[in-house]
Amino acid sequence: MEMNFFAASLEKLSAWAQKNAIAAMPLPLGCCLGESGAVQAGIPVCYNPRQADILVVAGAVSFKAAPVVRRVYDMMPAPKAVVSVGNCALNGGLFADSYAVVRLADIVPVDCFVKGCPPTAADFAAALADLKGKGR
Amino acid sequence: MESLDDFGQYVSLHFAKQDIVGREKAFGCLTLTVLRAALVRTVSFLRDDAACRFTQLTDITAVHYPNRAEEFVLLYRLTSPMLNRRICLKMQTARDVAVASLGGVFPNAVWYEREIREMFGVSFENHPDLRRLLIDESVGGFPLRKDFPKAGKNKLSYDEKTESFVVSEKQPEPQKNLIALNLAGESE
Amino acid sequence: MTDIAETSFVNIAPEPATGMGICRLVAQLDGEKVVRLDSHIGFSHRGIEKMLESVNTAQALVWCDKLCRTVPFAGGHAFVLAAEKLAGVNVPKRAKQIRTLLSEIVRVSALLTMTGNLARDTGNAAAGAIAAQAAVRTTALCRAVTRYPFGTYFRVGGVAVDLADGFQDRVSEWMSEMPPVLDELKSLIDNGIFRSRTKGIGFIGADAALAAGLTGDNARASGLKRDVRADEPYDAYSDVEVTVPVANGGDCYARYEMRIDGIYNALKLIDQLLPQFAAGEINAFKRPETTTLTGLSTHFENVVKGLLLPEGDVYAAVETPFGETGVYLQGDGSPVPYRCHIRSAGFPAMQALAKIAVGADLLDIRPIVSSLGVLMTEVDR
Repeated sequence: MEMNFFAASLEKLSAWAQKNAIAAMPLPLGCCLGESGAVQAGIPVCYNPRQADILVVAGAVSFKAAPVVRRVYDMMPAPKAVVSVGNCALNGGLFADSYAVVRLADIVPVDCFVKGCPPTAADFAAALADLKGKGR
Repeated sequence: MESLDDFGQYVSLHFAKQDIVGREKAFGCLTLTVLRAALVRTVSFLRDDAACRFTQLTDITAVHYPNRAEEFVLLYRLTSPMLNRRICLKMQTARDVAVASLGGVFPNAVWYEREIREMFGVSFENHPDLRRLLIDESVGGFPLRKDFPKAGKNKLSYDEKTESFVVSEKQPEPQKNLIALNLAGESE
Repeated sequence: MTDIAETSFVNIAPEPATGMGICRLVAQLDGEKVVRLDSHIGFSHRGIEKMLESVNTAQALVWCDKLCRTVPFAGGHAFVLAAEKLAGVNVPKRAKQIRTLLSEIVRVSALLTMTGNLARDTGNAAAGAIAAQAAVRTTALCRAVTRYPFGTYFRVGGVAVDLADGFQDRVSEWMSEMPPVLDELKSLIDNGIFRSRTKGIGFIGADAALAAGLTGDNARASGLKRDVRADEPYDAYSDVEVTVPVANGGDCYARYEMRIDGIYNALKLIDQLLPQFAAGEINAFKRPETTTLTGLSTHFENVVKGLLLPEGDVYAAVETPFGETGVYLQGDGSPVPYRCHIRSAGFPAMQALAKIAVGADLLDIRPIVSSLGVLMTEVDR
């Protein structure tokens, strides 16, 4: 019998597939994502949280948007990662002392931060390489 | 009615003296101070009169003066695209008085009034829709009032254990050592 | 048929149209027809107005320019005009021309983005990509001639630094690149499918548009001949001839036409402006020599203190790609504004959406929202 098949556990297989074909769901809350973005970093964008692996939250998260971000995060299948883009999502940035803005890390667990106001494509690529290096 | 003065006089002539309290012009724009009771009448006149034709409501906003007896000033900005002219109406109002809504005269007043209600706490009567517009209840208060701290009163976080959002009071943070911000604050 | 029991509700979120930001629309449907549409906005509300009440005029530009990402000068331009009017600053001619030139270049990029987004929302991804590419080139030109990051370039009294040497050649080169791109874009977008998805869809008449407070391209698409650049010329617009195109369709297609016309008009304005460029100062407040210690400390003090705003209030409006964006500024004798309100152009457009969308198919909501060209960061402030 020829050995033209291989055996693997389904979990391992799906993890391998997910690691090599990731899709990002953008949530452009502020003014960052136009400058750089997942597209420029070579990651396909998908607008359905059920099929996304990475949640890209760009810009300041307001009180009103916080439940939305959480809900989208909860809808995503595990394993999932959150990328926070820009200084505003990191710590409030320019809007750190604004009454309407919360830190993204208080809402969802964040896996990688992209700094900058606005971040450049290089910042974005470096952060994503870092995320891939974490291996999940 | 080429000059703004003539035009202001023309408008004033159509109303009783106590309705239009003040008239000033600054930077090429006429500003009338109107009485609360006369607001809807004045705006309808400005919209419909053949010599005025202020057919577009450009903006409504408010300013808070905490030390005045009537603490809010509402500003209505009208534009006449046909005559290429702008006018501004100012109106004083107090915290616990309802202002007549302009929604019946200009449909786009509705959202501006919703915004002013949640930002300043000015209430409106005859308003079709008084839900919140821009901010959530969790912000806690009327942010654009002068006594509301810039950094807000509440903090929002998500509790993973209970799987719900927690609104807690914000602790005052230690003063930042940003020179620019401190020096700017010196004049406040 | 319009019995409440037979209607259903559909949530359209988080991004009802490409590239507009986060917003939630709740459509009440009777079959496929939208009976009522309720827009929930405010997800990008960052409290810019409150921030501006605590910073001085020199710092404020940073927040103003964060109003929206495709048009960084939207808030900043209106703010500097208001502050200059209030404080009575006499802006040098060259500074005015630079501001006008940059506003027009950015207008091209923003209108291209809007057109591309509309193409994407009608299923034409190729045209969207071409428009996005051209917009990126325009942004790069902006960066190259200003030698500044995109935005925060305008200052009260003028601009931050002079344009790069030989900027005229660079702008001319970019200008010569544009017409073929636009021709390609038009031939790709303007086909039978696009027309069937936009013509007669999302109609709003002239009177309704006026009453709804629509400005800019959205108002001109409904037949209102109104343009702040032509009617109340600011900066160097009084030296150039601004043509105001008008369409009478009032539908998505008319709005698309207005945006394409807007790009050609902006190119024409740049063409008129380039040979007029005057030499001279670029800021009413001369920047001290920052190589000496005293000069540097003077400069530091100027920036930190900002410009004193006398008591009084003023409203200044500019024509942005969204429509009329204005700033209401009230001073109290200190450099920090007592009140600063931003009249955003997309705010009435989002409100008018409830009126425009009624009667449309659910499928058409996306092109309708897209054709209004709103950006939620600008709407929510």
